[in-house]
Amino acid sequence: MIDAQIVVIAKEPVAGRAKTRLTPPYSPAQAAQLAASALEDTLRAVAQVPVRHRVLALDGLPGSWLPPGFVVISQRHGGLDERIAGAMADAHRLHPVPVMLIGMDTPQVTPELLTSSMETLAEHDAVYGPAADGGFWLYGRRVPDPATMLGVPMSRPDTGTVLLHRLRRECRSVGLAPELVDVDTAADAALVAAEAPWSRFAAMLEAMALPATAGAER
Amino acid sequence: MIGELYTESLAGAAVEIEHVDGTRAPLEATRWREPIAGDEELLTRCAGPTLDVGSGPGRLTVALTRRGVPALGIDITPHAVHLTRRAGAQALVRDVFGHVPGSGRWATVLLADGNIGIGGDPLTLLKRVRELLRPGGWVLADVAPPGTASKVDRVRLRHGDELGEWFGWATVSAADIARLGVSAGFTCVDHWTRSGRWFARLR
Ligand SMILES: C[S@@+](CC[C@H](N)C(=O)[O-])C[C@H]1O[C@@H](n2cnc3c(N)ncnc32)[C@H](O)[C@@H]1O
Repeated sequence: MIDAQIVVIAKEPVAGRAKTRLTPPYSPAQAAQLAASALEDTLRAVAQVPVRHRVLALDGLPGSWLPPGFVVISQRHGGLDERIAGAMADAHRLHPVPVMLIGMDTPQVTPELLTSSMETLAEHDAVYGPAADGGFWLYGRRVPDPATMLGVPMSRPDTGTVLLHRLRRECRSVGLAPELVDVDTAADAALVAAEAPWSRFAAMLEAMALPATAGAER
Repeated sequence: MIGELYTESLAGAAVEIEHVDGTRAPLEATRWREPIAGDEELLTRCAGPTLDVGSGPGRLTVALTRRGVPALGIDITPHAVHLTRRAGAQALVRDVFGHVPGSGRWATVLLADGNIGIGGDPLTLLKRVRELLRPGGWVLADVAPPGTASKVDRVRLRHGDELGEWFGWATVSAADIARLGVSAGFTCVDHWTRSGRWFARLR
């Protein structure tokens, strides 16, 4: 049992609110179903990590996609930097042990990858997992400090390097997790599904095979 | 709500409710000992045997009993149940998720005063409450105004430096109740406002 916690920061998969960048080509209802699958894959992977606490920092309400074993807290208001910093600080207030945070856009994540990232955090002050688009998919701190995250410009090609730069300045040591593709656009969705054919996300994407994609394959 | 501090609050102590982000607000549990504007909206719609879930000191259970509507309050706080009984109504110390008498036979289940928040998982609570209802029965609930963000939170009670355990509590906006009700298996959900409160009925 690892004496730490994993926080999943997520938005309730409601049509028109979740994964809106998948529309087009997917309809808002399909985008929400894909978001729900990605969220459920993520939560199920986290549920299998031998970690003391699992927290879902949720914008909205839990649904039937929530597996047992999670404590749900609400997200703070504001930009993504404030939400992430707030979720880590609030989780740490609830359980004063190291915090590792991930989002709902990497359904290919496995319990083994999360476990090894937690082990990395045990050896460093921080752990950082870069995303292929220049952002980050994982961020952990032995003791969270909201100031590190506040003001990091989000959804930009340099988001990750800004954060990593700040971490290297503020922490004695920063461990790295492998780079992952996170699902933002339909093209990312296809890449991630190919990487994790076992996932609910891949099955849902397959079930929704777009006429255009089917045509291109033929 | 749970525990010693809630009991103290019912007796008038200045107990606060604290959120994980550190913000606090007075609980003012004594407000639940007097009728509240809008109660009539709930009371007149209780048709037949009514289960008041999280009945607290029992103002609604007592009001129903006085009108001749068979009513039972359930609450996990023994002192709250004691106050309800002393006021002449029936109440039991029961967790809504545990064994509840008359399962499948209640005409109305009340989730008043934000009690749709009980347990911090309103979908699970509504599914549970649906098992308690008889066919054709309905739930009456207080909900938050449509502009409010629905959410689930961890909260704890605080009296000075004395702290209770963290527990889950949810807020459900009128704008989300239909979607939630349908997921829980209800087929007809409506909501309305009166006296500054928002109410929902789920059938
Ligand atoms: C907001 S207060 C309700 C006030 C009450 N309706 C009144 O008129 O006084 C919430 C109540 O729910 C009760 N409660 C909390 N969790 C419960 C559970 N799992 N089952 C039953 N009652 C619960 C608390 O003890 C508390 O009395």
